[in-house]
Amino acid sequence: MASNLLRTLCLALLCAVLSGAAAAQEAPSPAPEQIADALCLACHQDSVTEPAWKASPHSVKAGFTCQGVCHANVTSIQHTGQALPALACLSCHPTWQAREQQMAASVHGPLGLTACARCHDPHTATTMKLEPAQVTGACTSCHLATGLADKHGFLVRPEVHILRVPCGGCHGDVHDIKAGATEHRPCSVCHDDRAALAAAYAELHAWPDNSLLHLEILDCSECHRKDGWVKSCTDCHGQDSILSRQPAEGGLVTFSDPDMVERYGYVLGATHVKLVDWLGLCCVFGALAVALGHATLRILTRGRRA
Amino acid sequence: MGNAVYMHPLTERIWHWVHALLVLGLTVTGIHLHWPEACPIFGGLDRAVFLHDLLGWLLVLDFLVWLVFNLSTNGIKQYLPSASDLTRGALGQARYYAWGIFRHEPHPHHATPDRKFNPLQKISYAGLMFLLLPLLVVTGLLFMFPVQVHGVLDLVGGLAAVAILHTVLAFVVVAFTVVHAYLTTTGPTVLADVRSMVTGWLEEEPGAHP
Repeated sequence: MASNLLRTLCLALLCAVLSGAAAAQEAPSPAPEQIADALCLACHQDSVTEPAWKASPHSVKAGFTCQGVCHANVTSIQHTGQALPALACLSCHPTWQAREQQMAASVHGPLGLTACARCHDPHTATTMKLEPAQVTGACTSCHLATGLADKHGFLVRPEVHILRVPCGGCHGDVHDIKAGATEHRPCSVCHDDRAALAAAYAELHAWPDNSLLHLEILDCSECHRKDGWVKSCTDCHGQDSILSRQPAEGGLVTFSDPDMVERYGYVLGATHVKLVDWLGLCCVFGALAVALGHATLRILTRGRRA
Repeated sequence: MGNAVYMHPLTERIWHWVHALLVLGLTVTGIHLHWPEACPIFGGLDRAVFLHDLLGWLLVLDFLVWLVFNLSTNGIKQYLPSASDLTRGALGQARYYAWGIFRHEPHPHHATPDRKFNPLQKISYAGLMFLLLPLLVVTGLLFMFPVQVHGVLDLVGGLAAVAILHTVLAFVVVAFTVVHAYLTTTGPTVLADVRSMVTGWLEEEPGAHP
């Protein structure tokens, strides 16, 4: 602890001394200073540590130096406030052209060319593939402040899902997310052991009469919806029954499973057969018409005797 | 007016009107359940479901009372059409309704307390009480306990098949009730049959029967 503090202080002192020396020599010197990586890293440890950079393929394999490729616009040791130039990942990685175009058309398009580096840290990445935890870390580095928990309030225990489930697990390929078209995947994709799940949460779900049947045949998301949890039978089996309707676009309703409806799904409207309704009504109103016609004939033949 | 015959004992009349009220109640609640958006008669669906279930159970009780009463008093025989009822009797009665009634011919069947029903009544009442009503009750019970009767549902083609059968039977019973109500006006006078089901006494038209 103390040694770290001492090391940090020494580095800060070194930076200050070097900065002061550079300022003193501010004379007209158009030639760019050659700044060693070690010197950069002495001040920019928040971006990458020297060991990490030295293990990076950009350093080891490509032989990049800080100033050499990506930060070529840094021409002086004193460069406070100098913007990072546009990264040109594609100039070395042309096979990523399609991916870059996909990204530009996605919801992350406005991030521009620096977008790659936001997730795939060029200083430390040893491979393009990110571990699930790295994906979530990359996503939450931007999205954590934008009501992430609220937006996932439809999930059962949203905080656990956010913490443990990689964002891409539900939202798909991060390079291709379109605004407003996030795919919500059925919980059964991950929670495929329905029997265990049903047993684990049986007590919580005991309120419907046939709770076991619901746990067996429904996906969690069919009750734990984005707009709130289903809390009464009539939320689904009511006169505005969602079960009798088509799934909403982009929504979670998947009750249209014909097998389920046929076998178990007596819900209002779900078993309506228009032909049966019409035949039934014809039967009832036909009987009424016959009765009225018969009565009329009886009235008209009142005076007639056999 | 001629003689009056005590046709319907009190127990039978009470049963009849209770049964009529139950059928009416089940029909109205059933309409709500079948077309909840077009005919929300009872406001909330929960209420309609509760009433339909309650009336359904009362119909089960009502049916059992009818069965036990008629079995114990041997009244069940009145509902069983004979072979001649199914052929000659039914044709004669149908001919009367289609032709004779307009010519004021005498009624082909003379109702007595022991032979209350004409051949067509026997056939239709037997069909109603021994087939339609039990099937309606059974399909209704399958609705109430879909989990417990899961195996049965699989055997009969699922709850959708049961739903359709229940609906079809309900339509038939309602159509039957319409015709039944109308035919009560074909007695000695327009209201004679209805009145007899209230007071028990059926007044006979003088000279209508030998």
